[in-house]
Amino acid sequence: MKKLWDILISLNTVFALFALTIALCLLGSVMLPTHLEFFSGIDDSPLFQWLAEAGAPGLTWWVYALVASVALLALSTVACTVDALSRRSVRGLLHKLSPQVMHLGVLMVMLAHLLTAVFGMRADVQVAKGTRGEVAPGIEVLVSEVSAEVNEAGTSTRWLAELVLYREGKVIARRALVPAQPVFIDGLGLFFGTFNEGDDNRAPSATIRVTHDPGAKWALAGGILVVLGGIGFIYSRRS
Amino acid sequence: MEFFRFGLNDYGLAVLTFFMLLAPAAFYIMALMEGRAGRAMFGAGLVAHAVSIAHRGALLGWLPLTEKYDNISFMAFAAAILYYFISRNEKLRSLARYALPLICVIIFVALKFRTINTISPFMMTPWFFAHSLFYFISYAFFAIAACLGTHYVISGDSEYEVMEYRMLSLGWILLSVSLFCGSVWFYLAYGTYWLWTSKEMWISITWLFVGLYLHARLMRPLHGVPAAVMGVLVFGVALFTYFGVGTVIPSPPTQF
Repeated sequence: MKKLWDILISLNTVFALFALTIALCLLGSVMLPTHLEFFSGIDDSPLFQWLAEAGAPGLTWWVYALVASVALLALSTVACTVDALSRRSVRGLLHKLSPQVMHLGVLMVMLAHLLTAVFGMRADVQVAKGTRGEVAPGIEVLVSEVSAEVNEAGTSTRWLAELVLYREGKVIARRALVPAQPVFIDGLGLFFGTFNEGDDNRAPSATIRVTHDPGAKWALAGGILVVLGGIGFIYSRRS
Repeated sequence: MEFFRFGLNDYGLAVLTFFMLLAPAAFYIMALMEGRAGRAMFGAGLVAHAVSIAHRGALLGWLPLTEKYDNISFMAFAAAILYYFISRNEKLRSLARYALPLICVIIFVALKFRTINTISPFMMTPWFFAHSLFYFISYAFFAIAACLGTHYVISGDSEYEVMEYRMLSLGWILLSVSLFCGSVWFYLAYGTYWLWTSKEMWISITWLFVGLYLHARLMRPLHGVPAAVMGVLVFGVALFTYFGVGTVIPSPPTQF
């Protein structure tokens, strides 16, 4: 057990895991565009569901290896954090704790990815002006108005969709949806996808992305910890 | 915004913008002169560069951090400011020989790109601008670290190695802050904070590579020149992430 612990907290192990993760990311960055059609659906469903359905281990083995490598890195991070906290620090509590707060933040981001990969959901729903579309079982959205502001150069500067949300046929909310300002309701996120202008035969429409992302809050909390740990680290060096 | 066109047509404005960014590059090169003249040239370069960036911002009506021309110019500006603070240390005077030419090269690279005066509706959020701001400041830290590391490898002066480490530590923290802001922006804009694309892979590689360097420096066999070389390579990896992905390695455009 002691030997396993020593391996986990060894700098050599951390270095090797960093190098392995980098190598797998490098391989992935080549595999993804080389087999574009095969990987085109990887972002549309939870990762593990997609992996189970995709098959083709010859093309997906590096994703499994990357997940395993990141998991080992997380394990090593936990061990290093415990080891560092158990040692005496000569440079003050802030200097001792800051890197560990960053480690904890990174772990939470990893957990976020895991939660999203297992329990996440994402779908795109195109809804024409004046019509309703189902965004989740029992929940519908009516796009009462959809428009775009265009500048002198003819480029869209702002899109707007007025939404009326229904649960079991009853109105539960009225919201305005614009890009990068999503609407959250009942654990679902509604995001402005694309604006479709329409023509003589078709009304303008909006593509609404619907997501359920249980990892998002963990990722946010983890990111905040990484930032706070970083600030603490800088401050402790100054003092 | 119209006022800052100074009554010029598109071609005239493009020429003016070009020379407004070329001027600081000329001043930075002349700043290689010794003594007060060099310092005056550097000061003039910083002021001219700040005016160039402010002019772009006034023309656009938002922080000029959305396209390559402006991003790279800002990276050079951040590197110049960083160089100013570091070069106040008498022991690090040789940095000028590496940093000033590099800042000029970065400006020349920016000049190769066309100015673009439009912005996607998805980018009009403070999270995007915070992401861009910290991202290119972190790149400036990596650039200066590469200069310090190169001089250490050539001369063996450990002052440079220590400062390289500090630059990379701070750059890594700033990159982390940038990725945090970028993740929040991407989630608000596209409903996800991660996509399986080459771009995301290489951004991860950059972050992990700095982490690899920081841990390598603590390892006795790698402390010194090997770690310093890795520190120099960080800037190369960061540059490849920005310029190489999408050109050398294809990466599909963001969904929507």
